[in-house]
Amino acid sequence: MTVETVTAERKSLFTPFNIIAAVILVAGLVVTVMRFTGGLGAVTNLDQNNPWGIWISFDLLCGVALAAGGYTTSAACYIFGLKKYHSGVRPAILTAFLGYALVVFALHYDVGRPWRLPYPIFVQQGTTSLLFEVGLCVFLYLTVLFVEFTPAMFEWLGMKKIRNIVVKGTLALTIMGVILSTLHQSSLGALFSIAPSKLHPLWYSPYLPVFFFVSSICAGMSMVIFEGTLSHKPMHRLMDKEYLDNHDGLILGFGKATSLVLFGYFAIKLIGLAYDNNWHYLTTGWGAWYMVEMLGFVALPSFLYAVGVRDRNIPLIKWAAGLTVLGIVVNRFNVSLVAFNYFLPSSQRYFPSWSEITISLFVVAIGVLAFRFITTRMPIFHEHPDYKDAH
Amino acid sequence: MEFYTLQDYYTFTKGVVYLIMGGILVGATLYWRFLMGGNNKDD
Repeated sequence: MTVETVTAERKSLFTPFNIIAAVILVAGLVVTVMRFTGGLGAVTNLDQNNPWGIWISFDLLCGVALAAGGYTTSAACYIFGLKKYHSGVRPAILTAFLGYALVVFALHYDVGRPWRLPYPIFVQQGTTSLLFEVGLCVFLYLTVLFVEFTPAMFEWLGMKKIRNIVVKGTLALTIMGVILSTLHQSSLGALFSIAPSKLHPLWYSPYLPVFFFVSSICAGMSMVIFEGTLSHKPMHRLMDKEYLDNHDGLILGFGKATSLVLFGYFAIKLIGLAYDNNWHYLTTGWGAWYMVEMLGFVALPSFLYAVGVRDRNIPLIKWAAGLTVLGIVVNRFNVSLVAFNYFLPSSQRYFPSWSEITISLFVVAIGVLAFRFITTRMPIFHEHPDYKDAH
Repeated sequence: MEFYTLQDYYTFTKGVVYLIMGGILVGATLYWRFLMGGNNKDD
């Protein structure tokens, strides 16, 4: 299969996908040189009022939320014993691992002195800072995700002994992954709870950590459906019978769960609104945008999921997953950019530069290419012949 | 709605939250029945 794949790729080197990816990579490399020779000011629109931009909003906050599929799928399979979702675990773990790895990669662009990134872990721990918790969780969870991913790599490399040792620790790794994700997803929300005067009251809440965590579950499960939909056609030749047979069941099961969690998320957001007595803001322009987010990207996908599951309408569930993924992006952008510094005059508001957008596209392109490289070589969408029914 | 004391404020907001939570309990039950109905069999 690998030889056929490599041959097919050689034949079609100048496909639209490859050309677009190459253009993004070249543009990204140019901006990378500009960033690391000219500094942040040379490529970003950041300033004293807006110390973070889309590299944090998109690359980090969205990246982390959308990587939540790893812990939700492995928890469903190994902790809740839903073995019928086993075929979805490896693609989800791989997406999560690449997502987190690219978060760390993108952070190198955003922090002023990237060579000091290991300092909070190894040199000087600022234990009173929320960012310390964020950094520690990213560091530990990325390590856990890497170890969870390694069985596929060892199977590919034919390293049976070490593969069997790692597989024995699957349950422990899953539990660690769930704990670290719970801490980490919520601590990203907690990061904004220390800036109550900067964030618009409709998005600010003391419950932000809970909102971030619950919405990450919706994001993760929707991302598993969404990513499965995107890779179904181009990766179809790599998928074995077990994966294809269980695919619709996974979509229906995850659709049902996401519908319920989105309902719960809508409910706790409503409670947050009531606790802070923010009803009067709903009649303002900010309120209209808030309603778009809550009704269009939370209530609507929840309902679409429910109808899709009731009617066993797989395409509708896939659309709902796409809408939920978009909704999480909208929410993270709202919290970290749109409603952040909302009181500033428009002339002082932040808007990303082309260079910043290029780097974000560059990071996504690297992720897609790495995903394709790994899935065409390692047993991600199919079981390795030597380990059939080994789980 | 005007508030003169902190207690007024919390009485109001807590009262609204309790009403909403009651609504959510009923809504969640109905939503659960809606979601579990339909053509699905074993998922």
